[in-house]
Amino acid sequence: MKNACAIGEAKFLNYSRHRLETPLMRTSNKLVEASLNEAIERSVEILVQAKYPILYGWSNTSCEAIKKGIELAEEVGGVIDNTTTICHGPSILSIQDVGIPSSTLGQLRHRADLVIYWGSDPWSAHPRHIERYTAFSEGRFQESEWRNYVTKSGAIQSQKRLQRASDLVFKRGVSEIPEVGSRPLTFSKRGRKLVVVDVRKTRTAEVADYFLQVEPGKDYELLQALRLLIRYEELEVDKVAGIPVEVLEDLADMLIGCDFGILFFGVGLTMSNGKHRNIDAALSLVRDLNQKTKFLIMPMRGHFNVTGANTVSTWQTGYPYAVDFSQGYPYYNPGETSVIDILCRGESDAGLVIASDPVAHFPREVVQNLVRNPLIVIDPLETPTSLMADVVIPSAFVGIEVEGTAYRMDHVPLPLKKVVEPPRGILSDEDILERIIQRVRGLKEGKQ
Amino acid sequence: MSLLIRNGFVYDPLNGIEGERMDMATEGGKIVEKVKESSAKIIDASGMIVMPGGVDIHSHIAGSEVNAGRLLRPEDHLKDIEVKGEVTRSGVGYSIPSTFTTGYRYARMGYTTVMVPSMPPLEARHTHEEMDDTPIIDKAAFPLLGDWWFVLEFLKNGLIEECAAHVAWMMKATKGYAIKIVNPGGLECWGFGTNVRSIDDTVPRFDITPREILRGLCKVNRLLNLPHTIHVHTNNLGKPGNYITTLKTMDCVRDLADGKKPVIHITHCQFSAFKGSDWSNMRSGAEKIARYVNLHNHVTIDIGQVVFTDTTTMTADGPFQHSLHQLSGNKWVNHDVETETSSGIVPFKYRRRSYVHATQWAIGLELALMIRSPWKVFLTTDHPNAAPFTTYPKIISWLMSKNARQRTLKKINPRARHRCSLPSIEREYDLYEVAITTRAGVAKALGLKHKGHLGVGADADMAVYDINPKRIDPSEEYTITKKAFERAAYTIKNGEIVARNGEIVKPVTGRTYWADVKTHEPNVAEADLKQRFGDYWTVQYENYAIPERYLHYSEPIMIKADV
Amino acid sequence: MCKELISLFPRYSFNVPVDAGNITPDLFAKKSIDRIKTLHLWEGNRKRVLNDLFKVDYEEDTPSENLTIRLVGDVSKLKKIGAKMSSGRVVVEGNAGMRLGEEMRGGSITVTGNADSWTGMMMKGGRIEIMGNAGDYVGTAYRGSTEGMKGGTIIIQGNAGSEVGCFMRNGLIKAHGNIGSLAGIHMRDGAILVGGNSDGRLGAEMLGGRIIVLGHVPSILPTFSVDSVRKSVRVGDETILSPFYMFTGDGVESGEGRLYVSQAKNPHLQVYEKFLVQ
Repeated sequence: MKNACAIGEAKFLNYSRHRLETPLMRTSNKLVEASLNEAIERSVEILVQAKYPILYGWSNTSCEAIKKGIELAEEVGGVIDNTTTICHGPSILSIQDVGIPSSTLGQLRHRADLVIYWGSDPWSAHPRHIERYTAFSEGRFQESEWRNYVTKSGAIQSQKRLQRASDLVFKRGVSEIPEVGSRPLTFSKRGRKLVVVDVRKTRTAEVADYFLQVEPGKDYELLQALRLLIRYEELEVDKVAGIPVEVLEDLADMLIGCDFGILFFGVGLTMSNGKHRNIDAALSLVRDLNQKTKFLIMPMRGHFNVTGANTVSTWQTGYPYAVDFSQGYPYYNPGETSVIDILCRGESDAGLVIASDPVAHFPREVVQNLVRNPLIVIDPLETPTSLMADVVIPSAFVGIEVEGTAYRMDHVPLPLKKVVEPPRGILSDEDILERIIQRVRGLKEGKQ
Repeated sequence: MSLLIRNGFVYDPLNGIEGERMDMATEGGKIVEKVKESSAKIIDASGMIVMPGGVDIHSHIAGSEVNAGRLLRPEDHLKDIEVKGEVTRSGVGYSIPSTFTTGYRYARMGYTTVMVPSMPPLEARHTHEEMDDTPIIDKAAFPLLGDWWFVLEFLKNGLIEECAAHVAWMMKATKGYAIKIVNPGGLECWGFGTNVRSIDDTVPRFDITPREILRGLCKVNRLLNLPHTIHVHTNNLGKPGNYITTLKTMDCVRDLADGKKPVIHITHCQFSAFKGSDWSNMRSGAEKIARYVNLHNHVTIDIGQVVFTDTTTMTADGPFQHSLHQLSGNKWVNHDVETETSSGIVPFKYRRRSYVHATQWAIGLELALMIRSPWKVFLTTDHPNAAPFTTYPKIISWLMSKNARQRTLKKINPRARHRCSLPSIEREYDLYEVAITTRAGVAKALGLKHKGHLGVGADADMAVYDINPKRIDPSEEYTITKKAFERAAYTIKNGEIVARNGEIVKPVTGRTYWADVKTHEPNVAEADLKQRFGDYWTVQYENYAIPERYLHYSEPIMIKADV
Repeated sequence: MCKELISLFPRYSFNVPVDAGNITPDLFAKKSIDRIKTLHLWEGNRKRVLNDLFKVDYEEDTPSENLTIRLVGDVSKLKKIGAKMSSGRVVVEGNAGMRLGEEMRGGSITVTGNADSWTGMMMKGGRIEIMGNAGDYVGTAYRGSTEGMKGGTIIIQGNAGSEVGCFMRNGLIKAHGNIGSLAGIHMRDGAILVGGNSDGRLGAEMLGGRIIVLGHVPSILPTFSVDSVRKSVRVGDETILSPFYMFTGDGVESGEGRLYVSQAKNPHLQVYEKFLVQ
């Protein structure tokens, strides 16, 4: 198992557990085995009868399957949406208002001398990130900080041990390692600098050169304040988001003084108070910084091909997610056409879920509205969602049993390889959807 | 499947046919001498003109920067929707249509071949995916190589042949067709937020000048025998006074020409033809450029014509796009691509009342009208930078009718009107010249042997327009001309009728052309790249090249290189 | 025959969204009742006629310019009521759905209950009055666009949600109750008047325009500067008396917008008084 990160490895090695082996259909409230044809027919009936079906998921499958999904949604006049809607939707909304200065990851590896993780803990969620692309990577113009980390991590660990020992001796509570916020930020350091801004000290923060603790829900204020400070304008207040303005002024200097900065942001920013306006502010800050130096920004995205889902959807329909085809053309208005909101209001009357597990992740009322209507699930694995479905169609694993294309978080397209054959009778998502589309068309044309 | 198009007025400049009334026959997707009438589908083209299908040499319709533009502008989509039809997919978009809509709209206008001019090699897969989702039209893509680290390093050290071998590898890996150069040297500078200011500026960290990049790649192009010339977006694009850079750019490869074929193509030349020193005194430099092009045979250009509308700018010229954002205050997307190139997108509205925009509008037309030979100057709008491609019919009407130009001139900024030469230009294109500047000349410059003409053996890509040259005077009745070119009476692709009176009747799949360049020792370049790959890119070597089977309809052009 | 009052009663409770874009006085004007009954509207992905979904009643009266359409019942799933209308009246006796009065140019809409989000999106003129509450994005621009409300008046007797008047360019939005956060975000001009409290982040990134809040505001964005204390402020033909802290901003955009925040209801803002020129 070379090259895969911890998350990828888990995906690979666990893939044979809870595998769906045959199509299933609900009869007398129980899921019983059915033939593929029966399952497809039932799916087609459900979709064609529906007046406002939703087709959700898409982030864990290939671009080829996503194209079929869009074709199907258009054919049945439904709404197609992907996991962006519960994750980085706010980022996209902000990009549509402000734009975004960004790049592929290699640019950062080669050039970035200031790396900021804001509301993101890559050490836990994207373990390869720091190693491959930022602080620990070797770039053409920037060296790796790996050795420094090892030394520092060792130092932190030993410091912790010392602290625990001293606490035991002096019977104090466990105390925090002194915040580096108290150290002047203009502490000059050769090579890459790693800064973490978060509401609490994450694992990434522990290896960072500087950590700024921001008051929860106040990222917006902090970002706006920085926008003013980088123009050398004054603030009337003493503190923003719990951080003294002098510290912010030093941070502003650091932002302007770098040769090439990159700001990564995660759900810590998208999901906290302000949501897409937080991202708005972050994008605007980085945009403004480009008047002084080179600075880019990038969202840390979750599900493996959510970027692919956005990309394919955008070129085929003009919109990255929450696309409503009910009137025969694509319409987009997140909040109105996003699946989670549609389900919240109980407006859909059928659902198709593919490569996703909303029953496990959505709020309860939303899940109830999903499962009380006819539900089709296409997935390789048995999941809480498939257990609630009316039709279940097992599919092959993309990137293991089926080849295809996916898009990395920085929009670089990559081929997904096929490593083993899928079990007999198990088709790819793409093939399953194609069959459904053909039968839907056949039905509409009056053929049987 | 055979077709017989009867009795139309045929314009086929590459074969010297100028409005002769004749029948055209197609079979098996090619033009043939004749077909059996009883088994052919017959089209009555009486009173109409027949031309080869339109060929667009430069249009941003597919790839990462185009899609970033689509994502950026939901508000642009809202005002222009296409409902799903019997045989057509739905879509949206005024200045950056979604892919299905793009293909249909080109076909409606009788266009059948479009070049995708800006393909970031690392993201070539994306360009091809979008191209495959663009129905009907044949396409090819130009990989951006002017700032590729390998190119910069080899050319710095004078290793032309090694450079050529690597470019050949790249052309095959990305399934590309021609060498695209954008602001040479400037994009590498933009990696750290700076730019180059002249073709003799030195690019930091690589110690090479734009002149050296241009000359080097021009030589490479010749060694590889690529069908098109280097396709160049000049340094200093969009800056007052930049016509000097453009002249220098054209001139810097003059000695590399053999006198027979062009060796450089300057794209969207309007943006590179400004006189003056700042925005208040900026003027048209079209005359200077036209004079040079008239005197020299080694250059071709396309105009990049502005139309007054709300559109979107998108190019690989990162620094230029940033400055456009600063100028306009509009939202801005930037996307640098490691080791290779950059891109930027900024919405932009061209206004009649703006002195600068009106001058830009005049420049494009002046270039087309002052350059005497339409074989050297081609109609484009650098879609969507100067305008959406759906405005081509309007531009054709301007070229063909002084009256049409006058009508627009009356409404533009008066100072711009007084300072440009356009009002005094009498010349009007005729249909033959229109056929050259939108089809024959373009195909020739691209080296597409079976396009842009209607000789036996050519691809059966044709357009029938409802204009009767015996009855209509395009100079007077420019509205009729415009309408005719907006909705082709028939669009034929590969011998099949794909559109009728503007309605898509059969959306076929278009081909993707690419240069399958055979060098003497391909393994050498390949081994070198494989070994050094990880130092340059953050993807695996095995994942970079696109296998041929990935393209829906691959059409390689076999080329033997001299290296 | 031109009817003065046309009443529409939903025949059943709508589950999937219904697009009421054709229910406007402009489209009903000068049409016979039979013709009106056959106007199209989308119920989810089904193309229906008005009569399928509504019982249509009319009061025969002398023809007049002022056509009124009355929707009676819960039409909270009915989107785009009164979209693009330029004259006449629409009255909703119940709750209205999303995008009420979208791109409206004239005439008036009255809702006795609540309205959903995107009320008055891209409005250009006319008048909308909601007796109950409104959702988010009142008078906003479409995604990606900077063209919000350009004219007209929106009055909400109850509360409104977040981002009231996003990208507003002109006109007046008045909420008697409380509003959510980020009112007037990216505002260019026009006025927002709030009788109750606001959740904060007023006027974020505004370039111009005025926001007046008579109730409580948790904080002011750090990029605004306090200017003065005003005794009153004039909005349209209304003069509101109450000492206000007046702030200008948003500094990040070099904006010249103004926030008027009640001095009495916001004692925590006294800290700004030290910056006032005495």
